Amino acid sequence: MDENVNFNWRLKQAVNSLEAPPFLEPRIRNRIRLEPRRPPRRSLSGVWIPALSLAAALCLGVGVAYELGHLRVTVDSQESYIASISSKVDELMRVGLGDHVHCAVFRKRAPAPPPVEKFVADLGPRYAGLLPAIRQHIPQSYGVELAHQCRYHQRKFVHLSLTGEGTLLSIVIANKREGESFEAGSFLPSLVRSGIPIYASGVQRFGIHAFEGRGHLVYLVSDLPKDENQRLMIALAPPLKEFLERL
Amino acid sequence: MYPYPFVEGRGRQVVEGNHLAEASMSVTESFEAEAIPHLNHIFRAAVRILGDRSRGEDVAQEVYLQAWKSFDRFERGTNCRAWLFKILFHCVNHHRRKWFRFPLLRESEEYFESALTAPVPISDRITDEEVLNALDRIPEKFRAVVLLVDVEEFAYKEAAEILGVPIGTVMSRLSRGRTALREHLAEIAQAHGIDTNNGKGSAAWTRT
Repeated sequence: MDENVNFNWRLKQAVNSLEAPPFLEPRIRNRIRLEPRRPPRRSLSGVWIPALSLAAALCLGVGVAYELGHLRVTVDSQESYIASISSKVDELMRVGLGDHVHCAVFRKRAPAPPPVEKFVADLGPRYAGLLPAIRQHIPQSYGVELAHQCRYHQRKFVHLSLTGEGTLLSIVIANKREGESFEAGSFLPSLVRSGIPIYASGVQRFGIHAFEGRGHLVYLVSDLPKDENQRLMIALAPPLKEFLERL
Repeated sequence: MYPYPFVEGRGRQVVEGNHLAEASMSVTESFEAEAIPHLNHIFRAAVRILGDRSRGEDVAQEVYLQAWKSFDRFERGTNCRAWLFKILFHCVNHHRRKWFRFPLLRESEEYFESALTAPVPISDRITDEEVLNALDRIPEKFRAVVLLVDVEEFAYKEAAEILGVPIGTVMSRLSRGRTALREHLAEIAQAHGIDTNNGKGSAAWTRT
């Protein structure tokens, strides 16, 4: 017999000469009957990977929402957001964009829109006629949420805000200040309809179309797709211009 | 915590209402049928590794309790004995830390360099107890491999998995363990007045 085989045989014989004491097996059987089994665990990947993915998606979602202007609850954070998106559009476009975001996007909405009488009162006699002037050019599914005169960054505005089909849009009218003119600037109109040059811009989800009258800058700011916003502005520009010319 | 994912994903039983006791009993019986037959192996290895019978009993019991708690992670049809040995070495390491002064022998390279000599013939007059004494004198990490491979007949790969070391380490430790064991047996033989410098080892190991 090979030496290693004999070596192992003697070793095994010696080790196996020891038997477990007779009490050990029943003791173990008793213990395991008393000991509750650990509930089957989900594997590490089954628990942590979905949890971490969910947390990462949540963080990402919150981050993106914050970047897009949601979850801005303090005035400072709202102003910071307006400043950050305004910096990405031309200076003259900032006028309408800022008032739309400040007044319509961050505004705390009433559960139900106020009655028309309130809009008429808030607009004042000078601009109350705007409501019927635009109504027939806006889809019926849109309802007026806000119509008033307001002030933002030391500038007065006439502001009408409408919602419908999950969209928020604003018609923002500002008095021209000295030197303010799209035509005088380097801006080129994106199109001219009914003799009215219409200027276009946009940032993030906001589409901005604007035209100017003799004494006013008029903006349509919404989260509609750019071409839809433009189509709406084409429809609104003539009655708005006519209304403002008559003032 | 004793995670023993020898094989992941054992079928998980959904136990509800009145079936609880019945289902629980069947799992208990299943565990006992799988694990209890290996009790002697686990006990012997525990005693040999720890060098103490009473600690061996405690650790063997601990192995079975841990195995029971982790039984949902054991896949039926795989090697239950190997799974229990893996738990055994986990428990031994745990208890070694707890007991602090585990009787480890010297394991330095120098020790082996000085102990390495040519294999010597061993008389059949050496008793099992003396063989065990010689086994208990070799360093624990080599003793563990000798026990797993030479006594329990695990393959090198299985021993490597049980101990959590590379297969090359198993082979190296086995070689050194065997050599050390032969050296200790040679000393015992000399104490019996047997001349270990003559004759061949194979004849000396044979007990007829």
